[in-house]
Amino acid sequence: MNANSVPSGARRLTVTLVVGTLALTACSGVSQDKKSTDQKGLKVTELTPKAAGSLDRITWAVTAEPSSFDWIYNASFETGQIMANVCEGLMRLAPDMSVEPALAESFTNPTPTTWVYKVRPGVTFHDGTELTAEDVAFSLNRNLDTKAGSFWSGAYENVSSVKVSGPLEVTVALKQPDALFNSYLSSPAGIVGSKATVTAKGKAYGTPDGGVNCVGPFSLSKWDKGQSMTLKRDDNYFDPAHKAKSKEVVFRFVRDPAAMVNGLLSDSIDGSWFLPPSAIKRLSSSGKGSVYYGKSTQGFNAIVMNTEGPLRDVRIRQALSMAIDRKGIIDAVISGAGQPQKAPAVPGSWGYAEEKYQQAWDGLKVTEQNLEAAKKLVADAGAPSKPIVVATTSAEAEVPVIGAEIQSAAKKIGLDVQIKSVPADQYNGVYTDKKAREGIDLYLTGWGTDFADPLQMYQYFQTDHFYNFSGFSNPKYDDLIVKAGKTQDQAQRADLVTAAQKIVVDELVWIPLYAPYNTLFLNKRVTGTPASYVQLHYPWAAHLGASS
Amino acid sequence: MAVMTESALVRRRGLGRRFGGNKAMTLSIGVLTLFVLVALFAPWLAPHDPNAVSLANSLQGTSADHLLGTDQSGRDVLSRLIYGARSSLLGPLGVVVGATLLGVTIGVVAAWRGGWVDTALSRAIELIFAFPGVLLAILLVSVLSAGLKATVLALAIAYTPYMARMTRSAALSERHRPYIRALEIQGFPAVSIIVRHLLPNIAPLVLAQASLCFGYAMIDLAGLSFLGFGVQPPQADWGAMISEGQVALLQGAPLSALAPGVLIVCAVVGFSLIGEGVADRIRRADR
Amino acid sequence: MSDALSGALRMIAKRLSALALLMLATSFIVFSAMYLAPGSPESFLARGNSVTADTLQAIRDQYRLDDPFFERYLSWLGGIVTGDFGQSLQFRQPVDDLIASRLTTTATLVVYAFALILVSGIVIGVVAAVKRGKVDSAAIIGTTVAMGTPSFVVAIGLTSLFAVTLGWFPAFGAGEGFLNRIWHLTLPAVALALSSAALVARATRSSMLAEMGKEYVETARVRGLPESRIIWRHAFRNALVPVVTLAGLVVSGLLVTTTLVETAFGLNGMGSLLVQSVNAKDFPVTQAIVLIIVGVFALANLLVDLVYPLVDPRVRGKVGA
Repeated sequence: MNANSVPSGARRLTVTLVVGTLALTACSGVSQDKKSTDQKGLKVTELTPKAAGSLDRITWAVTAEPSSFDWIYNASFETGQIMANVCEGLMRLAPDMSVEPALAESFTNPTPTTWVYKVRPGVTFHDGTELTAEDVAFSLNRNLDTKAGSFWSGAYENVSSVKVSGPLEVTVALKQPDALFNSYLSSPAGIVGSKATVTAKGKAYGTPDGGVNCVGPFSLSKWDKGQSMTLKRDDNYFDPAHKAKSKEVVFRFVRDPAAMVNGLLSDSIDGSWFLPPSAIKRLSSSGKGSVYYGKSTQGFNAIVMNTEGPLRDVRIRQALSMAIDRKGIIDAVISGAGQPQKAPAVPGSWGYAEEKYQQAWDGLKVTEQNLEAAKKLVADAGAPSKPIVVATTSAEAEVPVIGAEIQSAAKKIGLDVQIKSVPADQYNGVYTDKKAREGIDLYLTGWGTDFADPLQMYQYFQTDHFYNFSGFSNPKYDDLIVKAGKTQDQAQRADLVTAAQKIVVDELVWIPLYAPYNTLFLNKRVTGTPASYVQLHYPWAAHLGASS
Repeated sequence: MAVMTESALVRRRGLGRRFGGNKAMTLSIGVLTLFVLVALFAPWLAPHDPNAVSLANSLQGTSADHLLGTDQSGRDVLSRLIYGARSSLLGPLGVVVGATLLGVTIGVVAAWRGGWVDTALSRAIELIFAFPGVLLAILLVSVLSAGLKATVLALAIAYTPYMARMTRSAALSERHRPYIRALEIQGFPAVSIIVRHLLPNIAPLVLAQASLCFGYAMIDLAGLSFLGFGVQPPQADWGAMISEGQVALLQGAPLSALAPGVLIVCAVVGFSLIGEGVADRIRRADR
Repeated sequence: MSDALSGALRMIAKRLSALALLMLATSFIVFSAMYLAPGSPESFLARGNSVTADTLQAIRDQYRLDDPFFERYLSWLGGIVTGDFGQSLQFRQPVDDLIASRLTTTATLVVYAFALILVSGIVIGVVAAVKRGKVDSAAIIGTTVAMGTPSFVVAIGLTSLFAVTLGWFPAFGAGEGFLNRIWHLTLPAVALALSSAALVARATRSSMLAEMGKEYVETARVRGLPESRIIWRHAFRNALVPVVTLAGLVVSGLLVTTTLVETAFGLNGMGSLLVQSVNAKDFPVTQAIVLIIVGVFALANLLVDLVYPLVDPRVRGKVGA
């Protein structure tokens, strides 16, 4: 369910680098300055310098036009980044990656299967009407309506009902305990819109003509189809801490990466989260502004789609993993803006019990390149008779390069890799369409969690899970994950999750490649946004303002 | 993108004569022969494996080891150009051969049979003519999925009208010549007259038109590869290399995009000059 | 009403009905192609979110993807007749609105490029034909190379030189307001126009040369008419005929080439929308744009045939008599 991580034509994964170890450091109290500067001397930060003043107009670039501004269809990076500033939900994801209440004033969890949300009083929608519990229940219930076709219905898997239980109170009843449900409400799954507007607009809601009516530091003032969306500061916004600093933010749709870079370099665009990785060096040295690196919950993996084919033997998977030049990929593909990855859930996703996760991570077999050992594994297991098919798509700049590197790495250890290039729609089709997976052994994609909990990632490896493409099944693993899903205590949950993590890593169901940072460019005249990977679930543009 | 008319041949005269006649054509033939030889002997000529990735050598400049530097994946640009000559020439060749076979057949049959056959074929040709090549290719790509095969097939169909119209009018004027009449009266079967006499007589015209089409097909195929609909990575292809090279351009390394661009221009210009040269000769011979 | 005029009207009526037939055939081909295309638009829309089978089915139902072929074709066709191209899958908007919003950019771009093509093509062609010598040779070499250069290669070259290095033109976007738009679209229009302008220049040149060699030009010279008058009033007028034919073809060619140029310049026009729609399996949008391009192509041909008699004095004489 993670809209954020699944790459698509429009969404460039590498671009979603993330995070901030500083955030983790701050919450865990562990002294770890080492992480704020990585080996290459890149500085990883949580926030950019605070804005000194207001600006009349800021121009921001996204790579595509949102297909809809109705939150239940918010499944892409570009939509998420813009909507996070216009439509808030019950919870939000703070720059330190913690989940905090937004439209909810408070929440309780009286029984393992009941969540009660107090709705903040005195909050108004952009049209001036007051936010009520009715609006909240209506909004959440839209995700349960199969006819509506919400892309966030997965978050409601365990929900049996959402009801108004008091004047400003909504109660969510679960079928079974779900440790992630509350966190999911910081994603678009928790967004609240005006019931009256949604009902009145019907199908037109969220389209350029219908518009939206939400609560957020900005309102959508203009949608120039095919060109741009303009957000205007909402002066009645309830939260002084997140009130918009600047008057207007214009999001321009710039599909071509070269055009975007040219725009950034010529001062006509103030900033973007979608930096073409290949342009990072040029942007950093341009003198026009700065590139910031933040912590991210995203990682880039080669996902094993088929454990019956040539990758059946775990030794072959290990050999392949050991042959890959991860550092080379990081340098060539994302200009060094990332770190090698050891497990499906990256360090940026450790939102709690960081020491436990760190310890487990340190104990994982290092994925350093080792051709000799890899050759030996292949010799022991015997090279498969059929070639290993790696799917790639030219719709994403980094995928073909990584595919080519895997092919050439495999060749060095006597494995035959075949590249199968498929169009963007089929590449994405893999997630929902079994047929699209046929004939593919390895699938390259960036993937991560929506919020900082590795459990979200590891649920994917449960038997018969929606994202369990290879059909991996391990009763012991399932047991650990189910238990973790019901465990509210964070330390205990971390123990269960790290135990499960070890199983997946030993089996190499996914071959982890790298964990990119969240990259961001800001022109010298603007500053203030967080650098961490919260741009989809936090009103980041509210903090943008003049740098002097 | 390619705008061609059957009268293109007639209009583009001049160059041959002006530049010492055969010089331009000889030069073109020389350059294109070189391209073909390079494509044929790619494995012996290429200094490196065109698909050998070496991420540590990403975007290296010109050096003794890499005469034209490396691309983003650290692959040798020169070797990729050499191997890329294969698909870059084979693609347009497929288009031209397909369009010629189809177009000449349709044109000759329409001219020979006349009547309703001619009308029906001409209508069909008009219908195809309404689809610009690139558009037809884009349409076919969404049915067959992207790749060289789909784009070549689509362009072959899209280029058929140009060959067919030209063949039809040439065949028509040939058909009414006395010698064909004479052969018919002597009782020779139509097929044999067409194959032995008519086709050889219109062959130079067909060749000239095919040569022009080759250049346009190359431009169109390169464009489709640029859009991601044509040759798929990691296969080396000039059009696809330009598309991939855009990334390198951002990093200030223009060679990997520029070099294939120059080769495409050379090849296209070469084929146009040959087409014009042949057409020119026919005209002079006719005079 | 003269016979000639009613004859012309009959010709127009005949051509229009042929056009309608062509569009009908095209619509069927396009619709069948999309119907046969593999891939499921709903998978693309979900963008990899863990949606349930119910959700996917809901999307299929919303867009009637499971209805029988002819039912869908007929309802689509019925919609088009009333000006309704259906609903975009990728953008939850009517296709009409979507295309309308992209039309300004593309139309401005095409008209701008067309103007560049005509003006530069004709001027170069005439000058080359009249001056001959070195000017002519330069024109021939220049146009030969220009004709052989793919538009996207031109686009890349222009951007890196004029937008990035020199900063004379904006690097992206279509601009707002007339002048600003023209300024934004100059590089794309040049990239779009180059090879066609070369083609028109060539056509003009050879056509001019042919006219200049004709008897009536000699006669005019002998009668002592000024050279400029001979060139522009006589030779040029007649030389324009084949150029007009070519120009008609060029317009529709331009529309297709916008796919490349708009993509290279990151413009949100109809061409890039087509590419986007094909990639997203957004059938209704793909169908509509293909149909529009084919329609414009056919219409341009019709217009050429209609304008032809107006330009060609010989034909005009016959029709008008």
